[in-house]
Amino acid sequence: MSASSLMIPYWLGIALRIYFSSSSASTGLASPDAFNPAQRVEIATPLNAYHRLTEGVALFNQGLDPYSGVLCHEPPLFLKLGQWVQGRRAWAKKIPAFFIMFDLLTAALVGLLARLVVQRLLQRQNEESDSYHKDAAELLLEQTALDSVDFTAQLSYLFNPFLILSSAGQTTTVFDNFFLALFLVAMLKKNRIGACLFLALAVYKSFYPIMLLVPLMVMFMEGSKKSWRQELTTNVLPTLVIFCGFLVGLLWMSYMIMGRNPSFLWATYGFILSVPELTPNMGLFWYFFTEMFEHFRVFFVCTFQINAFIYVIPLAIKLRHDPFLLAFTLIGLTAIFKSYPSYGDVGFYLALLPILSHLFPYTKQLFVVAVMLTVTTVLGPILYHLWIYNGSANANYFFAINLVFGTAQIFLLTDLLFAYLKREFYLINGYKILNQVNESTQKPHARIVLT
Amino acid sequence: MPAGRPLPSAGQGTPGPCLLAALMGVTLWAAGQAATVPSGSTESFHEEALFKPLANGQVLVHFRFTTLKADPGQDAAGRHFRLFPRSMAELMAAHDLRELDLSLSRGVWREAAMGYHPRLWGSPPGARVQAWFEPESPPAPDHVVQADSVARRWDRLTNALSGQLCASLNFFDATSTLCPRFSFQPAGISPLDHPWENNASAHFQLGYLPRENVCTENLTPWKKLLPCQSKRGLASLLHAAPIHRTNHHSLGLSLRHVCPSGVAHCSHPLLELVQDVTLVFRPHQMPENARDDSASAWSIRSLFGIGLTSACPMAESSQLLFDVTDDLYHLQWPEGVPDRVYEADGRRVRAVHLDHLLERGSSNVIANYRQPVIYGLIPAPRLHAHRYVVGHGQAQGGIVTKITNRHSEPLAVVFLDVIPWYLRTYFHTLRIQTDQGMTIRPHRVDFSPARDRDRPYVLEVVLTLPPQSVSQISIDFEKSILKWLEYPPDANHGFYVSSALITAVLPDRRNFTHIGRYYSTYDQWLESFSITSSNASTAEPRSDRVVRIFTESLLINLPTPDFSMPYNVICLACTVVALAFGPLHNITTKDLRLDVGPEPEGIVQRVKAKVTGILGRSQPLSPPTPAETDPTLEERQ
Repeated sequence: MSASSLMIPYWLGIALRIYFSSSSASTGLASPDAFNPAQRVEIATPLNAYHRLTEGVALFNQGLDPYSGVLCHEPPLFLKLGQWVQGRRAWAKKIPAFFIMFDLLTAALVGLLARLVVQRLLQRQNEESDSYHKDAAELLLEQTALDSVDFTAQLSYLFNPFLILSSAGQTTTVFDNFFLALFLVAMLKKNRIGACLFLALAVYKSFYPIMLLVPLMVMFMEGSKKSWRQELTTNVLPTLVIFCGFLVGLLWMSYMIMGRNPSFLWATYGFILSVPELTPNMGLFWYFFTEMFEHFRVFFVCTFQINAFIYVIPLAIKLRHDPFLLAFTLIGLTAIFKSYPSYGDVGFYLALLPILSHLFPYTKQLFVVAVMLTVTTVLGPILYHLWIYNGSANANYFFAINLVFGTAQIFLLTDLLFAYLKREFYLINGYKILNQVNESTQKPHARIVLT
Repeated sequence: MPAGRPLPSAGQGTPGPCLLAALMGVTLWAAGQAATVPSGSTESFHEEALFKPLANGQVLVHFRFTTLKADPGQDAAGRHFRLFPRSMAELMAAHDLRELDLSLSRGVWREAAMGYHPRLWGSPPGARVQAWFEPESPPAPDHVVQADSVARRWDRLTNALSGQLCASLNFFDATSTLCPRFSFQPAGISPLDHPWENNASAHFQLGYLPRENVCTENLTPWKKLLPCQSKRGLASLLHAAPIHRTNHHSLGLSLRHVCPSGVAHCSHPLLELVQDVTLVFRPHQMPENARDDSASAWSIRSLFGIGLTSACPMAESSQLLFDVTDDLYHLQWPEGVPDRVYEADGRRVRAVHLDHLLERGSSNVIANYRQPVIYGLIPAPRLHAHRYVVGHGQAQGGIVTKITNRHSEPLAVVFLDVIPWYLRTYFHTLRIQTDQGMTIRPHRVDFSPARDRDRPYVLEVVLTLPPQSVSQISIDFEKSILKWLEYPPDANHGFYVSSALITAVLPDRRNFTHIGRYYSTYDQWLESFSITSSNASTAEPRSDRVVRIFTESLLINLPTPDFSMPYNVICLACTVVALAFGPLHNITTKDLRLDVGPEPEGIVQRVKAKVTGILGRSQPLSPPTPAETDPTLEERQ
């Protein structure tokens, strides 16, 4: 697609973001505004809310340790960045533009990423076409897919309502998404150092992306015929060393910035993992741990956090031929199962969906999932309002919406994974296999099952 | 306090039988000793009651019971207890206490209508305890160790006080205790050998319990500390029924070191225990005045239900003081009762000794108003404050404190606010401005952020109020959700936020009711004016013009979870997790295969298949193997 055809969507994206961020312009916390995305619990969580960053900066400026309180959970380098940006009087009105700019950069990166992914798919298709069934020719991706996929991916990023609100609400998830997009691009370009750097930044910011080390290694493992020992020395170890080098460097810089005070470690990563704050959000943690019996709390915190990480290894084995899908699935699962999820996290992986459009024909539940997501997105704020402001509903109503929202995302991810398996199956066996079997046995009983 | 240290503490847990016997022995011995000590040598007891009509037609009655005693640590006579409650001296010795002030009160003291509180330290709604501990000698080199030991002593002290006064003072934990830097200075004289004026706050602890109720069960043990208890003297007026009918009542107790004659330095300091009760009555609502709307006469008998029958024989003086500054009423008592009129502190006070009153056979004093009291504009004090919550809903909010300064010159004040940890207070939202929107730059801001379940937010601001202004200090917060078992039984009642404190040194003592800092009794204070009557107003030391204003305490609703369904929530959330775990487990551990096995469709065929299966097993349905149908399939897989 030519650059000119993208001008209109980009300008529209900017306009939408500015429109929604204008309502968030410096209204105090004491005057709740239902239309202010910076104040919506679905968008601004304790980890990414802009006013928490501001609070950290204010305490920092006051000469206090910003992590001595319980409000600020931004890592020190972002705090320093916030201090620098907020310290410029001339920029006071331009801070929303800062977030919008990074969001648009991410949109551009997503376009690039889409091209890279489809190119890779086509390349793999060419390499493996010998092993495909003769019927499967119709299922193959065509070269023309390359022309439009970056356009649709960028559109879905620019006009994703979750992402519009997230960047209009000035959440720092914008930076999470920016680093993740950079990481994915670097990963697909097989740039080990770049990928490790951006992954280190993403991990430094929000910890959970540490899982994405596995797709990165899988990416470099792909197609190689090395033994596992060679693999360990030429791929796994270098990746780990480079990644840890960057991460330790970032942490060391933070440690020095904070005046050799390691309190930020507990306030950021300890906070993410131990889930001490129970402010409502769209995730599963807050109400679960509000209602949890105290003596089971530690057990269930561990269980829920392990649940967020446990899928890495089995998925890596199953999806070893498609590291992008692996990374996508892990990003999606993180957005569902992380301790303080926000719309920004959900929106990011939903925006990547057009890249996987070759799987859509094999899905079963996309319509159901779309309806569930729409309904929960509409009802969530309403039921929250009924609970908090009208007092005519209680916390259960909002939590029910959280559950359905989570279930919808789970359906989406598992459906896509099934679709991937089915597509692979049909490519090998041909999509007419069921008909053939049924005709040959004279009984319409044949099925494709997981066994 | 070397001499006091071995004394067993009264409030520390349950004493064992041995300890109890020893304690009784010591008490008996002390009682025997007391008889041999000439009376009046080291201890004295004064009781006073001040009656003051307030600007809004209400009547303030302030009882002040002062017990003075030679410092037990300083000379031998100090170790004998005749009038001074032994438990209080033990409390001081056991916890290395230098000064203590506690108040239990109900109802807001409204400065705008009532003037300043007659207690030196004021009295916020609920319970408040503050204590200075003895600086250690030599001063501890390590500040951390020092602070820790102060916190531990505070913990023991509040537990002891809780037993002493039957109040829930043992609930003072780290979340309700603070140590402000600017708002508090010791009221008594400083220790002789190691003055602490510079770092007194390191030895200071302050705690608020805004939800604490004041009840008869607090009054009874409090009265037992008085030499005549409530059997004789002014304390016999203090019955639960009239006290709990009042608009505001507060019960106070304070311990400190003073000099005998109201000066700051002396060689033989005394230990002072002041027990006070502050009551605010509404005389125009009393049954006697019911027939006439404008009548607001009151008498001791109408206020308290009984008259005075006897003075406390232990008391050196029992005085009734009546504030007659505005000359609104005339006091009615038998002819010939000698009384004195003091012109002091900008006020006129008539004093009469209880003994003289009783000698003439009178047990009552009646105040008859010369003309109906008209409630018009109430001349508010020049410095007063209000505090309220802003915002709606259970997610966010803000606290606004409005401080009015009607002086014609700028006034420096210290503002202290304590916000509980569950209101997540954002320091960057702190705004200090006048009503006209002009921002005031504070001289000093001390903010200490809270930690969950550990310590509160403490905000201490030193600022100068512009003349003739209303200044506004506001800060915003987010309400947090607590764990479901952390909510009190009536969760929707709300959570109390303790009063803010405004401390200032005013240019004059207008609207003051409390006495000068180094004086022990009203008598002493008023006498000091007649001695230096010519330059009384100019001689006021700075410390006598300190005023402490406690604002309203606040009640804030937090969002509540549904307390009835923890199991449902746990089950449903786990179900959603299982919804992901199950399919992902299947996807990752199994492969897609073609299953061509017979699958009879519909219930009829299934029953038929079953019937045929049972009847004649001669015709088994043999499924074709996948290899038969598609030879390529197996190879590929």
